[in-house]
Amino acid sequence: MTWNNSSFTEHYKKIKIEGFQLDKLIDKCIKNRIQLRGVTFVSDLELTLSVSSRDFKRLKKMAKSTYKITVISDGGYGYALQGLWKRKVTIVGVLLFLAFFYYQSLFIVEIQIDGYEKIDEPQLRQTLAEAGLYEGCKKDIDVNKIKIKMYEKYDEISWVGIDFTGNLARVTVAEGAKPVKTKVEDKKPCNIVADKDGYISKIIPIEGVRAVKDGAFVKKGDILITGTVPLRNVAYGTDSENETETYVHAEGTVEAKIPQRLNFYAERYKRMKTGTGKKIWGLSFNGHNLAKAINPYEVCRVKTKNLINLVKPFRIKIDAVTVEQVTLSQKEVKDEELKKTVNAAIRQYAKENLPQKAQILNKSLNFSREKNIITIGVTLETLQQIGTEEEIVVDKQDGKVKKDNDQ
Amino acid sequence: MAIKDELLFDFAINMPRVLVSGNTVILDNVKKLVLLSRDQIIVHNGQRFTSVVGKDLTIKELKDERMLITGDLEQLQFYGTLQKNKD
Repeated sequence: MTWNNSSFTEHYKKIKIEGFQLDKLIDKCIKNRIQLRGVTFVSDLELTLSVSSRDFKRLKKMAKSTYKITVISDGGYGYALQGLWKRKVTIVGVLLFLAFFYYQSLFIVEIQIDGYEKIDEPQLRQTLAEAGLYEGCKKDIDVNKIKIKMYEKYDEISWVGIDFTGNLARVTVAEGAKPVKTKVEDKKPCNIVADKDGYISKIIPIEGVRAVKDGAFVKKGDILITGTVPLRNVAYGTDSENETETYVHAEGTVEAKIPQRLNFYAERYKRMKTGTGKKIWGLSFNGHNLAKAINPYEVCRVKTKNLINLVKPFRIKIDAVTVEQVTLSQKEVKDEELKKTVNAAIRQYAKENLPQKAQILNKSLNFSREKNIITIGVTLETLQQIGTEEEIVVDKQDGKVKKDNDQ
Repeated sequence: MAIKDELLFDFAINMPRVLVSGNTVILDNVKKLVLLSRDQIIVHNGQRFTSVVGKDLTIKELKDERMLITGDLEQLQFYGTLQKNKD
C-alpha cells in the first residue's frame, strides 16, 4: 500500500469519531498507512479528522463497532464535480450563459467615429447604417463595401479606416478639401449658353450681345449671350472689309420657361381595415414574434410597442405585440383626395429636382382611370435661370475659335 | 557535521527525528502512537519515544510515518526503554 495524495484532493470526508482509546484507532491508521489530516480533539472521547474517501471504508472496517463514526462533511474536486453533475439545470444554465456570451460577442455594440470636421456625426452614422454598419449589426460585414459607400457619399472624405476591437467598431475618417467647381475667370472671354431646353422668357445682357429673341425655343448648348462682339472700323478712308471682332466676358441673366411632363400613379380603390375587436397579445424578442407566428386570424393588423431596446452588454429588443383581427373593405378614391396627394408629390419633386430659384408658373392635372390604377399626368411649367458660362478659346495660329465648357 | 553523523541522521529510521519551528513540530519515523490527547502526544520511533506537551494540540497531517503537530508547544521529551523491560 502506498500513500496516495491525489485520492485525498479528489474526495475527502471530514468525520467525527467517538469512543474510548481513540489513540489506538489512530495507531492502527499509522500501521495501515491511512493518511489523516486535521486530527483535532473535541473531548477525551471525541475527535474530528479528515480522511480520503478511499481510506474511509478501510477506517470504518478497522473501527468496527467499537467507535461511532459520523460524516460531518465532504470535500474535493471530484466530489464537487459529482455534485455539479447531479444539478443538471445548473450545467445547462452555465452552458446557456456561455453560449449567450459568445453570441453577443458576434455583434457590434458601439461605433466610435473620429477625424470628422465638417461633416456631422449623425450624418456619418446614418450613412454607415445605410451601408450596413450600425449598433447591433453582425461583425462579419464587408468593410470595403462600407468604405466605398462613404467615398461615394462624401466627396470631401479622402480616407476611411474601419477596425474592430471586441464589440467596438472604430471608424476613422480623414477629410480633404471639397473640390470646387471652377468658373470661367472674370476677364476671360466667354459665352452664356443654355444648360437646359426651354422657351426664352427674358434676357438681360450686362456684357456681350444678345443672341436669341424672347419666346424663342433654345436647346441645351445654344448661345444665349455671345461674347464675340463685331468691330467695324469707322475711320474715314478705311475699307469696310476690315471688319473684325473682339471677345468679351459675356454676362447677364437668362430666364426661360421650361415645360415638363410628369406622371404619378395611384390606386383607384382605397382599402379599409376595420377591427372586429378580437385580439391576441404577445412579446417579440429580437424581432422573433411569437404572437404573429401563432396568429389564428386570416386577416389581421399587427401593432408593436417597444419595451426594451439595448445593445449593451448584449443586443436585446423586446416589443409588446398586439395582433388584431380586421375585416377588409374598399372604396374609390375621390379626385379631391388625389389632388392633395399629387400636389404634395409635386412639391416634393420640386424640392428635390428643381433649382432653388425656380418658380412654378402653371400646372395642369389630367386623371385617367384604368382598372385599378389612376394615372395622373402633370404638365408643369417652371421659370428657371438657364444661362451658364462657356469659355471662348481663340486659336491664335489658325484664328479659329474653339469652345471649351468649364461648367 | 561529520559524514558519520550525517549518515546516522539520514539512515537512523528507528530513532526520533524532530523539526520544531514556532508552533509546529514535525515528527519523523513515527512507528506507533502511544498516547494521544489534547495536551500530550507520545509516539514510538522504534527504539525511543518522543513526547510533545502543549495546549490544544492538533495533528495537521499524518502520512508516510511523519506527523505534523500544531498547537501551543511547551515541552519536547525523549524516552528510552529499559533493557530488562525489552526482554
